[in-house]
Amino acid sequence: MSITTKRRARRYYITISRKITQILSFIIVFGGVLGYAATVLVLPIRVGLSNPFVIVADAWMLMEIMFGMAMVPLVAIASIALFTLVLGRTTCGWICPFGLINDILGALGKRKKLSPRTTLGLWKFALFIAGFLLFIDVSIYYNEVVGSSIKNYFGAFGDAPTTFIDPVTTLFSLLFWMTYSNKWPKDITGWFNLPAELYWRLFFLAIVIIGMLFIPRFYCKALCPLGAIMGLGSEFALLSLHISKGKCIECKVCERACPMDIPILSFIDRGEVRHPQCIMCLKCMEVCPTKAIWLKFG
Amino acid sequence: MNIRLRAVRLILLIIGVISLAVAIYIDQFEFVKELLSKFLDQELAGYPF
Repeated sequence: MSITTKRRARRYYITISRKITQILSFIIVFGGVLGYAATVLVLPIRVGLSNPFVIVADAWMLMEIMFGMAMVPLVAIASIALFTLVLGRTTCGWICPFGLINDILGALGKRKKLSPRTTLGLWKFALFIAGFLLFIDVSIYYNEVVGSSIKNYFGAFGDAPTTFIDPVTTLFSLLFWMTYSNKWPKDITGWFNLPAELYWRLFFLAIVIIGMLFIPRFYCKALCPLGAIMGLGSEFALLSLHISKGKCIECKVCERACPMDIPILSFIDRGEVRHPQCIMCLKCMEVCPTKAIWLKFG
Repeated sequence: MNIRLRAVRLILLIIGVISLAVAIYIDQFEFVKELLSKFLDQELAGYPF
């Protein structure tokens, strides 16, 4: 290895470690491919539950499916609350399989920088979606408990209303099963007989993929209900980024590197970078020329 | 800010610990394992059955 390559590797050791963690997590989450059986692990990540190779539960979909079964999803609530308290949205940046897909597509496309106002606005939008979906889920749960099911009002999406606007389950569950069980039409007429819901979900997946090509982590910023809910508590997480006013030269390299477009320098007086969109990718810490940003627990 | 920070952390801790304790008590983790081991059609809206 040449000296230049060594220096570059040393400089980007956080990105390299994160990529390795993301790939390993992806392999572990889809551990069924390697022959591993389902585990009792429930993590705040987006992967869905319907894929037979998934061995770790997605807290959001588990919550939704259990509400639909008239059960209180205590494991999902515990997982979201405790992970948020300790790590904030770190799982989004380091473990989430759909986060890895966001990163890959973001790297392939052309990056568009968002303003701080838009970044926060997108989180609020995602939070609104999450709140709306939770309201539907709790309503379904309540009506299932009292014995007057309202699932039929939501048609094919009654069992899991998130799937209506969820590219994650479309990709990992629906498209997987379509391919695995060979349900794709053999001739042109077969395409006209497919359910309308399938076309809607494919259309929405395409929209999100296009979004991810132009805006890094588009899904995580603007649509992920789990990320938005975690963002509420991540501002108060034990793990946080700190910034030193004395060391910072305000070069804005950190802000340019941030995939979530967080206005890091606006936190300089506070000394702590606490933003609902922060996924703890640590890119800011890595690129800072004066090492003014560091990680602190507690 | 400090009081707000501690209050939110305490709320998250209480919610998390109580949910976890009750989930362990009613054996909900085994239900999750069972759920992951079988075919779930809840997420397959649009699938031509």
